[in-house]
Amino acid sequence: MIEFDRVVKYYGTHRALDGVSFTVPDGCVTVLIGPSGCGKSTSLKLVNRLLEPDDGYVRVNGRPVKSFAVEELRRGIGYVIQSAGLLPHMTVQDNIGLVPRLLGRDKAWRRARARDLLDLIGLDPHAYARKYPSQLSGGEAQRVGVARALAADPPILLMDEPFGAVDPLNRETLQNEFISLQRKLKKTVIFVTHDLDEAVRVADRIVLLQDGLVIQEAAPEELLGRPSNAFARDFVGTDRALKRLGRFSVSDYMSHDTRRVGTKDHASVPVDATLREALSRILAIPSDEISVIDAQNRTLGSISLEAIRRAGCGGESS
Amino acid sequence: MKARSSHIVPIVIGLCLVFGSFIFSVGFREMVLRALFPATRELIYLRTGLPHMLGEHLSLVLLSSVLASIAGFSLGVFVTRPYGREFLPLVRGLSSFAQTFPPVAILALAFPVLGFGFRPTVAALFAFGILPVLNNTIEGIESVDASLIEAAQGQGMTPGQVLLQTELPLAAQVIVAGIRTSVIINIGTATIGATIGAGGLGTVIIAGLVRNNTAFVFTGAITAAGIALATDWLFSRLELVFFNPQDGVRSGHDSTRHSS
Ligand SMILES: Nc1ncnc2c1ncn2[C@@H]1O[C@H](COP(=O)(O)OP(=O)(O)OP(=O)(O)O)[C@@H](O)[C@H]1O
Ligand SMILES: [Mg+2]
Repeated sequence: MIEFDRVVKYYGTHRALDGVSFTVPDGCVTVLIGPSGCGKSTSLKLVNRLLEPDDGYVRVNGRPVKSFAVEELRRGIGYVIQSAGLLPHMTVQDNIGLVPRLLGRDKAWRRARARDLLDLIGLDPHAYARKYPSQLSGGEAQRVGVARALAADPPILLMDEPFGAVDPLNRETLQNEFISLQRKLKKTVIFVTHDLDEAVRVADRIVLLQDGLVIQEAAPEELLGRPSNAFARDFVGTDRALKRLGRFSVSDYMSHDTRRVGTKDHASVPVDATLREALSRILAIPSDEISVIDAQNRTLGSISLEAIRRAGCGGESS
Repeated sequence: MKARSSHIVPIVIGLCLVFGSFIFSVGFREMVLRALFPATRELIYLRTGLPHMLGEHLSLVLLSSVLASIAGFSLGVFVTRPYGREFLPLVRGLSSFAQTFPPVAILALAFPVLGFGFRPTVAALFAFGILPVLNNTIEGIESVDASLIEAAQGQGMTPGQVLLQTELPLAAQVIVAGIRTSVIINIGTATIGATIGAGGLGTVIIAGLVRNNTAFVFTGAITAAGIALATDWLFSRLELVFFNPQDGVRSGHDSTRHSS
């Protein structure tokens, strides 16, 4: 668990963080989001002590980060940044093996680990282990950045706009890979982004910041359903109800009654899709109901506009 | 790349042979000079042998350049550390001011203080040779992307590891270029040392100027130029060996490598 306890941070006379408190539960993805300059990166760097707070505490597992030896602390926290931050004079496998090397792991172990991780992040070890960062695409470099952060198997990951420099299509792929990776690894993650769609997709919890203050700390559904003030409402936008539907799975709201599905149109929605996708597909057909299919194209039941509307209303304040 | 260097090797060997004969064989030198300066009677400077002057010259340059490189590099690293950074503007200002000094002026300033001979010349060459190394060390280190350094720190590198494993490898090429400039300049400047009795290739050049003997001037100048070229070539080989054209440090060479 990571706690921010009334943290204040100044740059000169500029107050970047103005008494920030929030909690990052273990094994979850907590997203820090807010407009540019609100203090997201600053908050992240306070965890691995690239910056020191002027007041307040940052605690990891109840222990103030100040009480750790700084290099030891950092070797136990994976750090991924927007430009990937790979060292250009080292090969991919040496970049991935960097923290294990600092921890004294031998070469054979590091090679094997780099290959395993390349596999894990979907890059062919034979083709990529010996490449240099300049020979990678943006998306590949980001993947390697994630692999490097995972190399020493740290319980905590700090990710500062890890997919920010990647085009939208690749970004979505990387997000999905990250989500399934996190499902396996269950790291304690602080994920910084200013893209609300990305936040809604990857977050278990969202901390919304503005000018160095926490505006709202909530589950994504709650932030979208009940933004706590005018700024939050503005930030989540007028399509927040739609975005919120993106958090719900068709499988939780469908009817399993296969007899009700008409055969006059062939439109259908996969069972693992979100309600947002289901809604979009229903709107494209004349019917108020659409069949739900599994990966083998078998019809499992249906989902209705009414069911989606009810899901969307749940928890809505206005 | 391969094909080009295989053409270059015989040329280099040939040039070395000609150049070596010119220096070490008096007969060959006399033959060359006679062809170039048929009107001159005294072609060979007899007071000191050319190999001896070359030896003096090389020790002047070697000693001053090694000392200058160590000093310039250390100072450059110091002023880019957190504890030395407050001196950075001062050092930068001083070194760009000092670079406007002609080397002769430094020598002229050095000899009243340090006297005649080898040591004041080394001192002057040292002082002058520091600047390119210092400037390039500072620029090389400063040009390393700050976010890269932060990433290295974020992975848990100690300040020493950040310096040795991130900053210096990425700045190395620029630093070596500074050393190269410094040595080449020193090879030329060291000829002036003869005016205050340090010996070296300047001896024969000065003698030629005094006696209006172009063959003498040519002998010293061509030898100095030869070792300057040879040194430059050695540095370029060194860079090829040490800076793998594959890595990001020289990513510009990527395309040529893959297209061949
Ligand atoms: N090194 C620094 N020196 C001075 N001011 C800084 C420094 N770093 C950040 N700031 C200021 O502190 C504030 C918070 O910066 P921070 O980098 O945390 O923002 P951010 O939320 O990460 O923004 P972005 O989304 O643009 O990355 C900004 O106003 C920024 O201008
Ligand atoms: Mg930022």
